[in-house]
Amino acid sequence: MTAQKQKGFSDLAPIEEELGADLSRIEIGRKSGGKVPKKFDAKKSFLIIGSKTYKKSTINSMIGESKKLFDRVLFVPINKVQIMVSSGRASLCYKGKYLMDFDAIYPRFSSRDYVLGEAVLKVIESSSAYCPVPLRAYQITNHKYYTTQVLSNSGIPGIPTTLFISPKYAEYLVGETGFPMVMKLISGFAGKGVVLINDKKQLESILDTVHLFEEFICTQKFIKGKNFDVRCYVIGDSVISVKRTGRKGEWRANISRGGTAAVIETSPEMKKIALNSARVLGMDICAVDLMESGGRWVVIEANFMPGPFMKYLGGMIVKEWVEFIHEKVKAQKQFG
Amino acid sequence: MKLLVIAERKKHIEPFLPAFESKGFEVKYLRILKISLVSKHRATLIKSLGENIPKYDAVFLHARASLAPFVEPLLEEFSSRKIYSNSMPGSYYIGMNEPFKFTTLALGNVPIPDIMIAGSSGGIKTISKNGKYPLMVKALVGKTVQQKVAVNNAKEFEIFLKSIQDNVDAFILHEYDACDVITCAVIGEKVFAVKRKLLSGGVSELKKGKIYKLSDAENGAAIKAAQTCGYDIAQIEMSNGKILDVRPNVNWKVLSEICSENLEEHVAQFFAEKLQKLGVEEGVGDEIGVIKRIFSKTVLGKWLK
Repeated sequence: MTAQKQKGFSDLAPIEEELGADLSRIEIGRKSGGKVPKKFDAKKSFLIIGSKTYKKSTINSMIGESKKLFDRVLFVPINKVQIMVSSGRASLCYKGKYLMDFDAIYPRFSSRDYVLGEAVLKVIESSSAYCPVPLRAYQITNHKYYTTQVLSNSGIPGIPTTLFISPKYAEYLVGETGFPMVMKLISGFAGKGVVLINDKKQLESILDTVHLFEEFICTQKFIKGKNFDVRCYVIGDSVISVKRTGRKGEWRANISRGGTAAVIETSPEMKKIALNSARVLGMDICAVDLMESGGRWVVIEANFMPGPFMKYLGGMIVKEWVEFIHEKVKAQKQFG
Repeated sequence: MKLLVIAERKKHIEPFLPAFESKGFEVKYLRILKISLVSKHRATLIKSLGENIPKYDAVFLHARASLAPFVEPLLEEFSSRKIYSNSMPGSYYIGMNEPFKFTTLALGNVPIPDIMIAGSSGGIKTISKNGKYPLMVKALVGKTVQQKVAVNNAKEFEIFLKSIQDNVDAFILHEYDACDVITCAVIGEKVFAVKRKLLSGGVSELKKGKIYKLSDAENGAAIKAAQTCGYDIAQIEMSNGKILDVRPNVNWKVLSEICSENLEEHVAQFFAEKLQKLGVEEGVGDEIGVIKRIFSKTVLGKWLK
């Protein structure tokens, strides 16, 4: 174990010590041609690329679990990654060393990381590393409407949702969702803020503040729930369901808004919806949030980078993620 | 054949309408602002002012890449309905995000400058002493290029680093040749180019450019760049044979004038040939498609394939 600890990386500080900063050897410029950086000895190795706003407790837990199974584990936040690009080649580097020889890479990006996130995912897809989440899923799941559209078109039950550009024409869409409705503005890549709108007057007053052409409006029928929803963690073919109960008086069941979480039994219907959603989006690891509506389960969201609810579930979900990725790597090495 | 023209403003595409009609298309123009998408009951509807948009054989889309959050779901819908469009799903996300665009071009073997992309100033600092100048440095906040400056030596690079703000999402650093820039319109396999002179204050405006004959390599690079990003029709910028930018919206008016070409006519011709290749025939494709869709989930589905 001690020997492994010396070889591996427990957190960001030792990583920097071991790698050393030698990016200066990579030259950008027409006269240089670019020197080749050193390669990692990436035998049975696992790279976690985190969000620039990564949660330390989740990452520490992932590194701890990963070190039990992988020979070499590296965590790098996305804003520390360098992408070296030239015709016919794109590589990820960190402090002058290639990150392309890992057996598995798990990118945990949020919508805030999209400027680099799409490029990093594109490079990962060009590598031979196993990655449980594809670029396309990152683009779709960070867009509330796009997620509903793709899942709906595949026959997965969702909530009536609309997308439009101009607030001027909002009146034509009120009938599609009715009141109350949830409105989300989509700007740049993902959404910012969600508002609950109860009537036409409220809608008009909110739309008055939306003037920018490059903001897009997504509205969704508000499902009056029972103050809870269910997050289905999809890990390969398995589903772990967690009931999230919202704080009293809060219409969202988010843990970050004071809700609580507990594991519940997954019904066959939940399992079918969660697995189908993950398959349509091409994700081996994700979370699909469900809500009860009219006596059946409907998808409210699919998560590219779900939080593992460490406060309520401990490291259970993280352990499952790492074990699944390790199994994939093992199979890849065994069967090529 | 039924064609829908979608643009931000009618004045951008007005000359296209007669050009398409002259090729036998039944054309309808729709302002993108008036379109909405509705997903419910396990299906998606494309609507305009509350009314369902009827079935078209093809869509000519002229819109900026920054409209990606709306355009991408729209392109997805066209694709799933087998409606041809000059932009493929995914292409607007590429167009909107410069680091993603360069990575896509590189992996598609398109000639581009050597580039380094980093998420923090620390990631590009080490280039300062050892980089080969001149270099072009860009600072991005979200999808917007907040700062773009050519640096000629380490001292200028240091000044740039000191001037940047904390909220930068990404830095793009690439080799830079201070030389003329070629702007071209790619329409399928045809390329129409304009050369913009390098002046003391930068490259001249597009409208002051002169018609330019591309070399075979430049011609091939322009077509490949557009196709790699998912566009059959695009505006490309290149310098020294290397691609600097690819965008879905072409400045038709200026390029047509300088090239003395009726580019609208070329676009209409391209659409007519493309649809012919795809097997879309007047009034036939639609009905067969509908029949196939209706029976696809029945025992007749296999037989109909």
